[in-house]
Amino acid sequence: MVKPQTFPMMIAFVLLFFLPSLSGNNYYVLHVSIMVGIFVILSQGLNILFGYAGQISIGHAAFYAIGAYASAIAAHHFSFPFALALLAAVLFTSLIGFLLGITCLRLRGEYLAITTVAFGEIVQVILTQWEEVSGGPEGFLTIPKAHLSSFIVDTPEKYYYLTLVITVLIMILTRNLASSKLGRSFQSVKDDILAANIMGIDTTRVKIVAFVLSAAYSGLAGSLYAHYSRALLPDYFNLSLSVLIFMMVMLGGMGTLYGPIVGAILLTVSFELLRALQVYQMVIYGIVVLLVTIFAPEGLVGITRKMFRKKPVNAVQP
Amino acid sequence: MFFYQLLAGLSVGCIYALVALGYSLIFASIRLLHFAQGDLLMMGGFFALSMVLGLKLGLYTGIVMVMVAVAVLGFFIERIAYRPIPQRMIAARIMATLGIGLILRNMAVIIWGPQPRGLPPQVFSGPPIKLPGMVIPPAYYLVLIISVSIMILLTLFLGKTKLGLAMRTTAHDQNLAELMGIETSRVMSLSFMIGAALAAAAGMLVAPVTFISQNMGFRLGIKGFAAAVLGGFGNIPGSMIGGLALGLLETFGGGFISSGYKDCIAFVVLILVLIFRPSGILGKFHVEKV
Repeated sequence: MVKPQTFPMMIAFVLLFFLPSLSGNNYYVLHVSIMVGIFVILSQGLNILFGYAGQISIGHAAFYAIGAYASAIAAHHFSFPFALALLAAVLFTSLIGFLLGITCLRLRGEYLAITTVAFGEIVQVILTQWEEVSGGPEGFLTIPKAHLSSFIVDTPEKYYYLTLVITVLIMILTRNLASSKLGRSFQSVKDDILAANIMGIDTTRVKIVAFVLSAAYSGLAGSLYAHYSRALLPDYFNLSLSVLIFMMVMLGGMGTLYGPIVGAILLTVSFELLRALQVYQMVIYGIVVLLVTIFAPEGLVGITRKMFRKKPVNAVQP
Repeated sequence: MFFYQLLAGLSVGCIYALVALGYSLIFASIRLLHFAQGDLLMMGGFFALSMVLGLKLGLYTGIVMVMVAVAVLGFFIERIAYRPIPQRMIAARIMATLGIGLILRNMAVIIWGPQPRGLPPQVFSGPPIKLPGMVIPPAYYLVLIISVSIMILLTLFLGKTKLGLAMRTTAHDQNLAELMGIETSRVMSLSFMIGAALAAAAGMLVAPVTFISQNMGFRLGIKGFAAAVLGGFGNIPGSMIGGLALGLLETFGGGFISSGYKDCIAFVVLILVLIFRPSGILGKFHVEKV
């Protein structure tokens, strides 16, 4: 018996499956959908670290960049096949996440946020300056197409399905993770680190695991982006991108499974729809961000959940 | 050569110190890490452009007007965007500062256009000081004199006036200050306004070195933050020392590594200080006990 809550999900999945034919293989629709998929993975990665484990990061574009460049270098210089390049990118980004996690163990709140900002800037400066490896400011332009053994993922439609499959797998993984023992220990570290320590949770390990997982997700997203766009520019991975990912998680609802999806769709699609407004678009974004943080600090998923939650029967009315 | 580098380092350091003071003051009074500080600095730069080119004001009246204008802007920002969010919601407050930054940057583009612009060099004019063997251009010593006098005025204000005492009490313990009859709400607004004005002054004084553009604030903002952390976050004299130290470190350290990596010095310093000595040069170290 299928639970009634899963119906909307199944409908959504069927719609997503037929999206290329529904849109008539419209290149633009597919492009936006692929970017949404990549951003869902990316913001889900930040959600693990920030939403579940409560460690603020405004430098996630750096992990994204490291994943993208690692995958590009593995595929171009070492001629790795796509799957192996992706794995290499995920492993390398995890290693960097591990190192940053160890470095930031003692930092909390605002201090952690600004340290991750500095980390993002350092990565961006290195990518711009270290021309032998990254191609410098002109960019890395020689990324081969994605191959899955003899099958070449060359059309946007094929890449759409690749992204869809990986995104769905990532969502399932995150759902299971959130309800596992590890997911609950993330929650305890976020809520009260002292209490978590007393309960016998190894908070040091939990924090580092959160960093590694989060970095791995971002590396995966980076690898997908690298083989999709096939050109990487260091300027793309700037602070604004980190802020955008942070906003996706905050707007959607931090610490919720579907929040990052809502945030990623909302910001990516509205960015395309409001493109004609140019500069005014960003001002509108700023105002929306302010309104949401002031009136719904738990994000859009959080606020809907709150509205639909039944009130306790014998609650005392003030 | 050495002397010129020292001078350049000191004047850049003074600008970092002003930004750092703004961060420290705001953090001490309303416990907010103000990510939009760099954007207030940018607004200061653009206001300076309008004051000098539009209203034909001189350097001294111009800088006062710029500081007042950005302080008023800061008052509204703090009341509308930051005050409604409770202090314990750190992520939401950071988000609000990011939103304000986004609005300010793009408003600047709408009002002043996307091209980077410069203040005319005549603004920073005066007789060059001639020393045996060298000439000090007016831009350097004017920046030094103005920023040092702003810092001295701030120190006197915080140390000697009743309002300054109220500000320090509020920063120390808000409940205590309220019990003493201090109107903490107004004092907190005032602290934020002074913090914003300091950033604005830095935005005008940085004009001889850099162009005024919508993105000028970010790098300067985070470097000022690094300076604040270096000197002990929330510590006023520490922020000044941290700013000068960072300016000198960048100028002299930049000679040893390639200029492209020069910007990294501040970020690396920031991370190292936060990890190994989070209380900064002048701060005391607190260990949380159960």
